[in-house]
Amino acid sequence: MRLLIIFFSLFFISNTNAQCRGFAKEYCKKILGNYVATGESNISELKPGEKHQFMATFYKGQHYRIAVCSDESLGNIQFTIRNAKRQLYFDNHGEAIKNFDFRVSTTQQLIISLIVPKSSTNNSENGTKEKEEISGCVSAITGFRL
Amino acid sequence: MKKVLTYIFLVSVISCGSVEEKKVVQDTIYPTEEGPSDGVLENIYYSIPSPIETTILIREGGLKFSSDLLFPENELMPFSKKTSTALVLGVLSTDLNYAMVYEKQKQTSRLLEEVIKLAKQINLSAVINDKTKDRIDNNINNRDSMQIIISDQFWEIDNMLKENEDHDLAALLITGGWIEGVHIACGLSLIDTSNKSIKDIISDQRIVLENLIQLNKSFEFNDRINDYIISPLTELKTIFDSIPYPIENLDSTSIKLIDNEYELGNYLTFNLNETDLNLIRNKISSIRQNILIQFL
Repeated sequence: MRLLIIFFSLFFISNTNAQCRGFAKEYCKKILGNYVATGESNISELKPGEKHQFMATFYKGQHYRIAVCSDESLGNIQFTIRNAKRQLYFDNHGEAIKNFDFRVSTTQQLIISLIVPKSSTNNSENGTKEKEEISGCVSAITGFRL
Repeated sequence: MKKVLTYIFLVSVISCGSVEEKKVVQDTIYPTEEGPSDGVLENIYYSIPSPIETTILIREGGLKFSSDLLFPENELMPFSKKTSTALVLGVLSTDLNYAMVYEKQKQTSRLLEEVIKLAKQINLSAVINDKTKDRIDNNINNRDSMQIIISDQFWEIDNMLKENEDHDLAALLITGGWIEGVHIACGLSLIDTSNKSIKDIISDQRIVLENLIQLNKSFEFNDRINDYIISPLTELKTIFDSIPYPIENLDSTSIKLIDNEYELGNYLTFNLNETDLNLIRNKISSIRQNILIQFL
Protein backbone atom coordinates (compact mmCIF):
# COMPACT_ATOMS: atom_id res chain seq x y z
CA MET A 1 0.00 0.00 0.00
CA ARG A 2 2.79 2.39 0.98
CA LEU A 3 4.58 1.63 -2.29
CA LEU A 4 1.39 2.37 -4.18
CA ILE A 5 1.11 5.78 -2.49
CA ILE A 6 4.77 6.56 -3.26
CA PHE A 7 4.27 5.49 -6.88
CA PHE A 8 1.23 7.72 -7.34
CA SER A 9 2.95 10.62 -5.54
CA LEU A 10 5.97 10.34 -7.84
CA PHE A 11 3.70 10.05 -10.86
CA PHE A 12 1.86 13.19 -9.79
CA ILE A 13 5.08 15.17 -9.20
CA SER A 14 6.54 14.05 -12.52
CA ASN A 15 3.31 14.84 -14.34
CA THR A 16 3.15 18.34 -12.82
CA ASN A 17 6.76 18.91 -13.80
CA ALA A 18 6.02 17.85 -17.38
CA GLN A 19 3.00 20.17 -17.48
CA CYS A 20 5.15 23.11 -16.38
CA ARG A 21 7.77 22.34 -19.01
CA GLY A 22 5.07 22.20 -21.68
CA PHE A 23 3.76 25.50 -20.35
CA ALA A 24 7.19 27.14 -20.63
CA LYS A 25 7.57 25.88 -24.17
CA GLU A 26 4.17 27.10 -25.24
CA TYR A 27 4.01 30.48 -23.54
CA CYS A 28 7.41 31.62 -22.33
CA LYS A 29 9.47 30.97 -25.44
CA LYS A 30 7.20 33.29 -27.42
CA ILE A 31 8.22 36.20 -25.18
CA LEU A 32 11.83 35.66 -26.28
CA GLY A 33 10.85 36.94 -29.73
CA ASN A 34 13.91 36.99 -31.97
CA TYR A 35 16.28 36.11 -29.11
CA VAL A 36 17.60 32.55 -29.11
CA ALA A 37 17.20 30.44 -25.96
CA THR A 38 20.58 29.98 -24.28
CA GLY A 39 20.00 26.30 -23.68
CA GLU A 40 18.57 26.04 -20.22
CA SER A 41 15.14 26.67 -18.81
CA ASN A 42 14.26 27.49 -15.25
CA ILE A 43 10.86 26.16 -14.41
CA SER A 44 9.15 25.65 -11.12
CA GLU A 45 5.76 25.05 -9.63
CA LEU A 46 5.06 27.68 -6.99
CA LYS A 47 2.34 28.70 -4.55
CA PRO A 48 1.48 32.28 -3.54
CA GLY A 49 4.36 33.79 -1.55
CA GLU A 50 6.94 31.32 -2.86
CA LYS A 51 10.10 32.20 -4.75
CA HIS A 52 12.25 30.58 -7.44
CA GLN A 53 15.70 31.97 -8.02
CA PHE A 54 18.62 31.04 -10.18
CA MET A 55 22.10 32.31 -10.81
CA ALA A 56 23.34 32.58 -14.37
CA THR A 57 26.43 33.89 -16.12
CA PHE A 58 26.09 36.57 -18.75
CA TYR A 59 28.90 37.34 -21.16
CA LYS A 60 30.18 40.76 -22.03
CA GLY A 61 29.44 41.46 -25.68
CA GLN A 62 26.16 39.53 -25.91
CA HIS A 63 22.67 41.01 -25.92
CA TYR A 64 20.24 39.23 -23.63
CA ARG A 65 16.54 39.01 -22.93
CA ILE A 66 15.07 37.37 -19.85
CA ALA A 67 11.50 36.30 -20.48
CA VAL A 68 9.22 35.46 -17.58
CA CYS A 69 5.86 33.77 -17.64
CA SER A 70 3.47 32.23 -15.15
CA ASP A 71 0.02 30.73 -14.81
CA GLU A 72 -2.58 33.49 -14.87
CA SER A 73 -4.08 32.20 -11.61
CA LEU A 74 -0.92 33.29 -9.76
CA GLY A 75 -1.28 36.95 -10.73
CA ASN A 76 1.61 39.11 -11.87
CA ILE A 77 4.97 37.72 -10.85
CA GLN A 78 7.56 39.94 -9.21
CA PHE A 79 10.76 39.59 -11.18
CA THR A 80 14.11 40.94 -9.99
CA ILE A 81 17.69 40.89 -11.26
CA ARG A 82 20.60 41.30 -8.83
CA ASN A 83 24.33 40.92 -9.06
CA ALA A 84 26.24 38.31 -7.07
CA LYS A 85 26.43 40.76 -4.15
CA ARG A 86 22.64 40.98 -4.24
CA GLN A 87 22.63 44.59 -5.38
CA LEU A 88 19.44 45.25 -7.28
CA TYR A 89 19.58 46.02 -10.99
CA PHE A 90 15.98 45.56 -11.97
CA ASP A 91 12.63 45.07 -10.28
CA ASN A 92 9.32 44.94 -12.12
CA HIS A 93 7.58 45.54 -8.76
CA GLY A 94 4.99 42.90 -9.65
CA GLU A 95 3.79 44.82 -12.65
CA ALA A 96 2.93 43.13 -15.91
CA ILE A 97 6.43 43.44 -17.36
CA LYS A 98 7.37 40.06 -18.79
CA ASN A 99 10.81 40.66 -20.20
CA PHE A 100 13.97 42.64 -19.69
CA ASP A 101 16.54 43.35 -22.40
CA PHE A 102 20.09 44.11 -21.38
CA ARG A 103 23.79 43.59 -21.84
CA VAL A 104 26.56 43.50 -19.26
CA SER A 105 29.63 45.72 -19.16
CA THR A 106 31.69 42.85 -17.75
CA THR A 107 30.97 39.13 -17.78
CA GLN A 108 29.15 38.47 -14.55
CA GLN A 109 26.77 36.35 -12.56
CA LEU A 110 23.27 37.61 -12.00
CA ILE A 111 20.62 36.29 -9.68
CA ILE A 112 17.16 36.18 -11.19
CA SER A 113 14.28 35.83 -8.73
CA LEU A 114 10.67 35.06 -9.53
CA ILE A 115 8.30 35.72 -6.65
CA VAL A 116 4.63 34.83 -6.63
CA PRO A 117 2.59 37.52 -4.84
CA LYS A 118 0.91 36.58 -1.60
CA SER A 119 -2.82 36.23 -1.85
CA SER A 120 -4.62 39.51 -1.24
CA THR A 121 -7.54 39.63 -3.63
CA ASN A 122 -9.99 37.60 -1.61
CA ASN A 123 -10.34 38.31 2.08
CA SER A 124 -13.03 35.85 2.94
CA GLU A 125 -11.80 32.93 5.03
CA ASN A 126 -12.69 30.32 2.45
CA GLY A 127 -11.53 32.45 -0.45
CA THR A 128 -8.11 33.02 1.10
CA LYS A 129 -7.75 29.34 1.84
CA GLU A 130 -8.61 28.47 -1.75
CA LYS A 131 -6.17 31.04 -3.05
CA GLU A 132 -3.37 29.71 -0.84
CA GLU A 133 -3.88 26.23 -2.18
CA ILE A 134 -3.42 27.38 -5.72
CA SER A 135 -0.13 26.51 -7.31
CA GLY A 136 1.02 27.18 -10.81
CA CYS A 137 3.89 27.08 -13.23
CA VAL A 138 6.48 29.84 -13.24
CA SER A 139 9.28 30.01 -15.75
CA ALA A 140 12.15 32.21 -16.85
CA ILE A 141 14.03 31.70 -20.07
CA THR A 142 17.18 33.52 -21.06
CA GLY A 143 17.82 34.30 -24.69
CA PHE A 144 20.59 36.02 -26.58
CA ARG A 145 20.52 37.93 -29.84
CA LEU A 146 22.28 36.40 -32.83
CA MET B 1 9.91 40.04 2.23
CA LYS B 2 12.45 42.72 2.87
CA LYS B 3 11.56 46.08 1.59
CA VAL B 4 14.05 47.42 -0.85
CA LEU B 5 14.60 51.15 -0.92
CA THR B 6 15.22 52.40 -4.37
CA TYR B 7 16.95 55.65 -5.18
CA ILE B 8 16.68 56.72 -8.72
CA PHE B 9 18.69 59.56 -10.14
CA LEU B 10 17.32 60.56 -13.44
CA VAL B 11 19.87 62.17 -15.63
CA SER B 12 18.43 64.40 -18.30
CA VAL B 13 17.30 62.77 -21.49
CA ILE B 14 19.13 64.32 -24.33
CA SER B 15 16.80 64.22 -27.25
CA CYS B 16 19.19 65.55 -29.82
CA GLY B 17 22.89 66.02 -30.21
CA SER B 18 25.81 63.76 -30.89
CA VAL B 19 25.60 59.97 -30.69
CA GLU B 20 27.82 60.08 -27.61
CA GLU B 21 25.49 62.51 -25.88
CA LYS B 22 22.47 60.30 -26.49
CA LYS B 23 24.05 57.33 -24.82
CA VAL B 24 23.65 57.83 -21.09
CA VAL B 25 20.03 58.44 -20.37
CA GLN B 26 19.53 57.13 -16.90
CA ASP B 27 21.78 56.28 -14.00
CA THR B 28 20.26 54.29 -11.20
CA ILE B 29 21.96 53.39 -7.96
CA TYR B 30 20.46 50.90 -5.58
CA PRO B 31 21.50 50.16 -2.03
CA THR B 32 22.55 46.65 -1.19
CA GLU B 33 19.94 44.35 0.18
CA GLU B 34 21.37 42.13 2.87
CA GLY B 35 21.51 38.45 2.04
CA PRO B 36 20.89 35.62 4.46
CA SER B 37 23.03 35.94 7.59
CA ASP B 38 25.26 32.98 6.76
CA GLY B 39 26.02 34.44 3.34
CA VAL B 40 24.63 31.38 1.57
CA LEU B 41 21.86 31.81 -0.98
CA GLU B 42 18.93 29.58 -0.25
CA ASN B 43 17.29 27.35 -2.89
CA ILE B 44 19.23 28.74 -5.74
CA TYR B 45 19.61 26.97 -9.07
CA TYR B 46 22.60 27.39 -11.33
CA SER B 47 22.43 28.10 -15.00
CA ILE B 48 25.40 27.72 -17.34
CA PRO B 49 25.80 29.50 -20.69
CA SER B 50 25.21 27.24 -23.67
CA PRO B 51 28.14 26.11 -25.85
CA ILE B 52 26.72 28.10 -28.74
CA GLU B 53 27.23 31.36 -26.84
CA THR B 54 30.90 30.58 -26.29
CA THR B 55 31.48 29.50 -29.88
CA ILE B 56 29.80 32.66 -31.17
CA LEU B 57 32.07 34.76 -28.94
CA ILE B 58 35.07 32.85 -30.30
CA ARG B 59 34.01 33.59 -33.87
CA GLU B 60 33.29 37.24 -33.06
CA GLY B 61 36.77 37.47 -31.51
CA GLY B 62 38.15 36.97 -35.01
CA LEU B 63 39.63 33.54 -34.34
CA LYS B 64 39.98 30.93 -37.04
CA PHE B 65 38.50 27.44 -37.06
CA SER B 66 40.82 24.58 -36.21
CA SER B 67 39.58 21.05 -36.86
CA ASP B 68 42.52 19.72 -34.82
CA LEU B 69 40.75 20.92 -31.70
CA LEU B 70 37.67 18.76 -32.29
CA PHE B 71 37.16 15.60 -30.29
CA PRO B 72 38.83 12.74 -32.21
CA GLU B 73 36.55 10.85 -34.55
CA ASN B 74 35.73 7.58 -32.82
CA GLU B 75 33.50 4.66 -33.48
CA LEU B 76 31.25 5.42 -30.54
CA MET B 77 30.17 2.21 -28.87
CA PRO B 78 27.10 2.22 -26.64
CA PHE B 79 28.21 3.32 -23.17
CA SER B 80 27.46 1.14 -20.19
CA LYS B 81 26.45 4.17 -18.12
CA LYS B 82 24.11 6.97 -19.06
CA THR B 83 26.32 9.43 -17.19
CA SER B 84 29.20 8.70 -19.60
CA THR B 85 26.87 9.13 -22.57
CA ALA B 86 25.66 12.50 -21.30
CA LEU B 87 29.20 13.73 -20.68
CA VAL B 88 30.44 12.79 -24.16
CA LEU B 89 27.22 14.10 -25.71
CA GLY B 90 28.02 17.45 -24.12
CA VAL B 91 31.54 17.40 -25.58
CA LEU B 92 30.31 16.58 -29.07
CA SER B 93 27.52 19.15 -28.84
CA THR B 94 30.07 21.89 -28.31
CA ASP B 95 32.10 20.61 -31.25
CA LEU B 96 28.93 20.61 -33.33
CA ASN B 97 28.21 24.22 -32.37
CA TYR B 98 31.79 25.20 -33.12
CA ALA B 99 31.77 23.58 -36.58
CA MET B 100 28.32 24.96 -37.35
CA VAL B 101 29.13 28.53 -36.31
CA TYR B 102 32.10 28.45 -38.70
CA GLU B 103 29.94 26.87 -41.44
CA LYS B 104 32.09 23.74 -41.71
CA GLN B 105 29.58 21.52 -43.46
CA LYS B 106 31.54 18.27 -43.45
CA GLN B 107 32.31 18.42 -39.74
CA THR B 108 28.80 19.65 -38.92
CA SER B 109 27.25 16.65 -40.67
CA ARG B 110 29.59 14.15 -39.06
CA LEU B 111 29.16 15.59 -35.58
CA LEU B 112 25.40 15.83 -35.92
CA GLU B 113 25.22 12.12 -36.74
CA GLU B 114 27.28 11.31 -33.66
CA VAL B 115 25.15 13.57 -31.47
CA ILE B 116 21.96 11.90 -32.74
CA LYS B 117 23.46 8.47 -32.07
CA LEU B 118 24.35 9.36 -28.48
CA ALA B 119 21.06 11.16 -27.86
CA LYS B 120 19.21 7.95 -28.72
CA GLN B 121 21.11 6.14 -25.97
CA ILE B 122 19.71 8.42 -23.29
CA ASN B 123 16.15 8.48 -24.61
CA LEU B 124 16.33 11.83 -26.36
CA SER B 125 15.26 10.61 -29.77
CA ALA B 126 12.01 12.50 -29.44
CA VAL B 127 13.83 15.83 -29.53
CA ILE B 128 16.94 15.19 -31.61
CA ASN B 129 16.63 12.76 -34.47
CA ASP B 130 16.83 12.35 -38.24
CA LYS B 131 14.26 15.13 -38.68
CA THR B 132 16.70 17.48 -36.96
CA LYS B 133 19.34 16.41 -39.45
CA ASP B 134 16.97 17.09 -42.34
CA ARG B 135 16.16 20.56 -40.97
CA ILE B 136 19.84 21.36 -40.64
CA ASP B 137 20.68 19.92 -44.06
CA ASN B 138 17.97 22.13 -45.57
CA ASN B 139 19.47 25.20 -43.91
CA ILE B 140 23.12 24.31 -44.25
CA ASN B 141 23.83 27.52 -46.17
CA ASN B 142 21.95 29.73 -43.75
CA ARG B 143 24.05 30.15 -40.64
CA ASP B 144 21.46 32.11 -38.67
CA SER B 145 18.75 29.51 -39.26
CA MET B 146 21.13 26.73 -38.29
CA GLN B 147 22.07 28.52 -35.08
CA ILE B 148 18.41 28.92 -34.19
CA ILE B 149 17.69 25.25 -34.93
CA ILE B 150 20.67 24.02 -32.91
CA SER B 151 19.95 26.36 -29.98
CA ASP B 152 16.33 25.24 -29.94
CA GLN B 153 17.41 21.61 -29.98
CA PHE B 154 19.61 22.07 -26.94
CA TRP B 155 16.88 23.89 -25.09
CA GLU B 156 14.61 20.93 -25.89
CA ILE B 157 17.27 18.43 -24.77
CA ASP B 158 17.74 20.17 -21.44
CA ASN B 159 13.99 20.41 -21.04
CA MET B 160 13.43 16.74 -21.80
CA LEU B 161 16.20 15.53 -19.48
CA LYS B 162 14.69 17.57 -16.67
CA GLU B 163 11.18 16.43 -17.56
CA ASN B 164 12.42 12.84 -17.29
CA GLU B 165 13.92 13.74 -13.89
CA ASP B 166 17.41 13.12 -15.32
CA HIS B 167 18.81 16.29 -13.74
CA ASP B 168 22.18 14.62 -13.19
CA LEU B 169 22.46 13.85 -16.89
CA ALA B 170 21.51 17.43 -17.77
CA ALA B 171 24.33 18.64 -15.48
CA LEU B 172 26.85 16.27 -17.07
CA LEU B 173 25.80 17.29 -20.56
CA ILE B 174 26.50 20.89 -19.61
CA THR B 175 29.77 19.92 -17.90
CA GLY B 176 31.04 18.02 -20.94
CA GLY B 177 30.06 20.91 -23.18
CA TRP B 178 31.83 23.43 -20.96
CA ILE B 179 35.05 21.38 -20.78
CA GLU B 180 35.16 21.14 -24.58
CA GLY B 181 34.46 24.86 -24.95
CA VAL B 182 37.36 25.78 -22.67
CA HIS B 183 39.57 23.24 -24.43
CA ILE B 184 38.80 24.89 -27.80
CA ALA B 185 39.41 28.36 -26.39
CA CYS B 186 42.72 27.30 -24.81
CA GLY B 187 43.80 25.63 -28.06
CA LEU B 188 42.99 28.77 -30.03
CA SER B 189 44.94 30.89 -27.57
CA LEU B 190 48.03 28.90 -28.58
CA ILE B 191 47.32 29.33 -32.29
CA ASP B 192 46.61 33.07 -32.12
CA THR B 193 48.82 34.21 -29.26
CA SER B 194 48.24 37.94 -29.78
CA ASN B 195 44.44 37.73 -29.69
CA LYS B 196 43.17 39.51 -26.55
CA SER B 197 39.55 38.40 -26.87
CA ILE B 198 40.35 34.70 -26.50
CA LYS B 199 42.16 35.44 -23.24
CA ASP B 200 39.08 37.36 -22.06
CA ILE B 201 36.84 34.41 -22.96
CA ILE B 202 39.09 32.07 -20.96
CA SER B 203 39.33 34.38 -17.95
CA ASP B 204 35.53 34.80 -17.94
CA GLN B 205 35.24 31.05 -17.40
CA ARG B 206 36.27 31.63 -13.82
CA ILE B 207 32.72 32.79 -13.13
CA VAL B 208 31.08 30.03 -15.15
CA LEU B 209 33.18 27.37 -13.42
CA GLU B 210 31.96 28.58 -10.05
CA ASN B 211 28.37 27.99 -11.12
CA LEU B 212 29.24 24.69 -12.77
CA ILE B 213 30.79 23.34 -9.57
CA GLN B 214 27.78 24.50 -7.55
CA LEU B 215 25.46 22.81 -10.04
CA ASN B 216 27.35 19.50 -9.83
CA LYS B 217 27.38 19.60 -6.02
CA SER B 218 23.65 18.84 -6.11
CA PHE B 219 24.29 15.31 -7.41
CA GLU B 220 25.92 12.14 -6.21
CA PHE B 221 27.92 10.87 -9.14
CA ASN B 222 29.79 7.60 -9.46
CA ASP B 223 33.50 7.39 -8.57
CA ARG B 224 34.65 7.64 -12.16
CA ILE B 225 32.83 10.94 -12.70
CA ASN B 226 34.03 12.23 -9.33
CA ASP B 227 37.65 11.20 -9.78
CA TYR B 228 38.16 12.14 -13.40
CA ILE B 229 35.83 15.10 -13.86
CA ILE B 230 34.54 16.75 -10.70
CA SER B 231 37.76 16.69 -8.64
CA PRO B 232 39.93 18.02 -11.48
CA LEU B 233 37.36 20.75 -12.11
CA THR B 234 37.68 21.74 -8.46
CA GLU B 235 41.46 21.88 -8.96
CA LEU B 236 40.93 24.07 -11.99
CA LYS B 237 38.82 26.38 -9.84
CA THR B 238 41.75 26.65 -7.40
CA ILE B 239 43.93 27.81 -10.30
CA PHE B 240 41.35 30.43 -11.32
CA ASP B 241 40.91 31.52 -7.70
CA SER B 242 44.64 32.17 -7.33
CA ILE B 243 44.54 34.77 -10.11
CA PRO B 244 44.18 38.32 -8.69
CA TYR B 245 40.78 39.81 -9.43
CA PRO B 246 39.75 43.45 -8.94
CA ILE B 247 37.01 42.65 -6.42
CA GLU B 248 37.01 46.10 -4.86
CA ASN B 249 35.49 47.56 -8.03
CA LEU B 250 32.42 45.37 -7.64
CA ASP B 251 31.19 47.36 -4.65
CA SER B 252 29.24 49.82 -6.71
CA THR B 253 26.55 49.05 -9.18
CA SER B 254 25.26 50.93 -12.15
CA ILE B 255 22.65 50.58 -14.81
CA LYS B 256 22.73 52.67 -17.95
CA LEU B 257 20.40 52.93 -20.88
CA ILE B 258 22.45 52.83 -24.04
CA ASP B 259 20.80 52.73 -27.47
CA ASN B 260 17.50 51.53 -25.98
CA GLU B 261 19.14 48.70 -24.10
CA TYR B 262 20.20 48.58 -20.46
CA GLU B 263 23.80 47.92 -19.62
CA LEU B 264 24.41 46.42 -16.21
CA GLY B 265 27.49 46.54 -14.02
CA ASN B 266 30.85 48.20 -14.07
CA TYR B 267 33.85 47.82 -16.28
CA LEU B 268 36.50 45.53 -14.88
CA THR B 269 39.77 44.45 -16.38
CA PHE B 270 41.03 41.01 -15.59
CA ASN B 271 44.34 40.29 -17.23
CA LEU B 272 45.37 36.71 -17.63
CA ASN B 273 49.13 36.31 -17.86
CA GLU B 274 50.91 33.55 -19.75
CA THR B 275 51.75 31.57 -16.61
CA ASP B 276 48.10 31.46 -15.50
CA LEU B 277 46.98 30.67 -19.01
CA ASN B 278 49.41 27.74 -19.18
CA LEU B 279 48.16 26.35 -15.89
CA ILE B 280 44.54 26.55 -17.09
CA ARG B 281 45.44 25.07 -20.45
CA ASN B 282 47.28 22.11 -18.91
CA LYS B 283 44.51 21.35 -16.46
CA ILE B 284 41.70 21.46 -19.03
CA SER B 285 43.79 19.37 -21.39
CA SER B 286 44.23 16.71 -18.72
CA ILE B 287 40.47 16.70 -17.93
CA ARG B 288 39.66 16.27 -21.60
CA GLN B 289 42.26 13.50 -21.83
CA ASN B 290 40.44 11.82 -18.94
CA ILE B 291 37.27 11.81 -21.01
CA LEU B 292 39.09 10.21 -23.94
CA ILE B 293 40.80 7.54 -21.86
CA GLN B 294 38.28 6.81 -19.13
CA PHE B 295 34.91 7.27 -20.79
CA LEU B 296 35.21 6.04 -24.39
